[in-house]
Amino acid sequence: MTGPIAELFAEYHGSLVRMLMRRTGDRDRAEEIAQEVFARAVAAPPRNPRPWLFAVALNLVREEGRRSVRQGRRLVLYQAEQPEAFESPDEAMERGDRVAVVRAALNTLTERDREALLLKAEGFSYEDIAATLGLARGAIGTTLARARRRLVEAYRAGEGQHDVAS
Amino acid sequence: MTSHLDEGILHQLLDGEIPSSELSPIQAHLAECGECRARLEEAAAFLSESDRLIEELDRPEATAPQRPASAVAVAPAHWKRNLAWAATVVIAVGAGYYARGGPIAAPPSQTASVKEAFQEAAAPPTDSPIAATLQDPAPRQSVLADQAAPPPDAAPAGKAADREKKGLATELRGAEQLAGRAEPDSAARPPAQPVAPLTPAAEVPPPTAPLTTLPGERARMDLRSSVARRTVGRLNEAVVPAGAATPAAMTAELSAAPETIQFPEAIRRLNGTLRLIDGLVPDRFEAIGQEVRVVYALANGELHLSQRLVNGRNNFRLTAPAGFPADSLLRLQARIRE
Repeated sequence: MTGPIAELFAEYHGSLVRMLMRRTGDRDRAEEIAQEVFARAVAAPPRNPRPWLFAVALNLVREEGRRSVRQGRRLVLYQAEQPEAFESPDEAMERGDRVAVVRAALNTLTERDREALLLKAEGFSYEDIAATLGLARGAIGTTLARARRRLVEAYRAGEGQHDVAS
Repeated sequence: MTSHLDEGILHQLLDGEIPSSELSPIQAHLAECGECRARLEEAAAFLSESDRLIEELDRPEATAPQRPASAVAVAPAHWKRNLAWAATVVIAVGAGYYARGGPIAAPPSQTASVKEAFQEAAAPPTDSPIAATLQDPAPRQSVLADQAAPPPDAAPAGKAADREKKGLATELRGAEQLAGRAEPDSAARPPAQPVAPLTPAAEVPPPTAPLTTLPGERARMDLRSSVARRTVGRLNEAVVPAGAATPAAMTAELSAAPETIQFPEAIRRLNGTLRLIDGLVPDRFEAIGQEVRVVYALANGELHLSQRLVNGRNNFRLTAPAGFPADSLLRLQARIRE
């Protein structure tokens, strides 16, 4: 890997993998997708790199998710890898797993809201979030406001539910 | 006079994304409007809590649902085919109570003998459950390889697999030894504590293991036989904790009565790491000293999932009543989730 791609890699690979890890909960999958993204960047070097890299990555995550649903065999594997993706925050809390509660809460968001939140967590500006997700810049504040509120409320619901039950 | 600030603007403000030219009217409004100031505070709270929650995602997930092999986490190395597979089946998991320097940091030679005896007692039957599970990871990795185009630089993607392989290598070695092949370290070890051979009539539980790790277990063993009690007493003297609890304190903890607690309390005591068996409803939760015990009622007794925090990690142990089938216990253990 030489020249501009190496620089891209040095600058964004860590952040990309971290975002993908948070998004998928699976380190291996995160690194695989990141590899794929940079491979594609080698083939067609992007002009606006950061939004491009993350947009391709998020597309790959979405596509894989859809493929998994269509292909029964992979669905079984997918479930085995990420059972917490299919449980509610209070179910995760039943298991006493705080990380799973957060992940379950994150999964209650719409895909767009979730992605915006994770991009913001990687230090993206509103403009870059808008470019990555294909949204209007003016909509980002509202998107993040909704996403943050929703995440916190879903998490609290998952946490609090059990106290009520017991 | 601007109307109230909507939530999007508030977050945009907090994110530093309001163009400087648009700042003053917003600040002017906030200076005059208590309601918007309150909403700004609320927005700031949502912002910081959601940031905190997202960072939680970076913590390694406790359940390890992606790695079925590590659910059968055996104490590293040196399983021996164990004839003293006794009435009370004790499985040492949580990556080795002693390997981590456990709650009792005994001097090395004593650690070795206690550890060995502990593992002897805990060694399960030799066949498939462990070996089969340990060979599991390959299929998942090949599916991942199907999905991605051959990466130009394969090394990073392989790192996680390598890490897992290294951990498994230890476990596989253990499984091999279990199958009766190499036992390279047994010669080097100091002699183990004598372990009573299993006879159908005898109800001698693994004499060494439960004492030093399980407060409350002693009480359980005392019901069984006087031999056990004597052996337990001998071990008490053998282990000299370095810098840990005094023998008096240990004894005190060991004879503490279990106190029934509620589920949220159990979680709290374990700092959120409470482990439960998937699919089983606990009968109750107990606290004994530093330990939390999840009690499941069975037809012929109780299943105890005892756990405690050791250096921030949840170490646990599953005990079953006399006569409980070992392979069932292993299956239950595989269902333990945090």
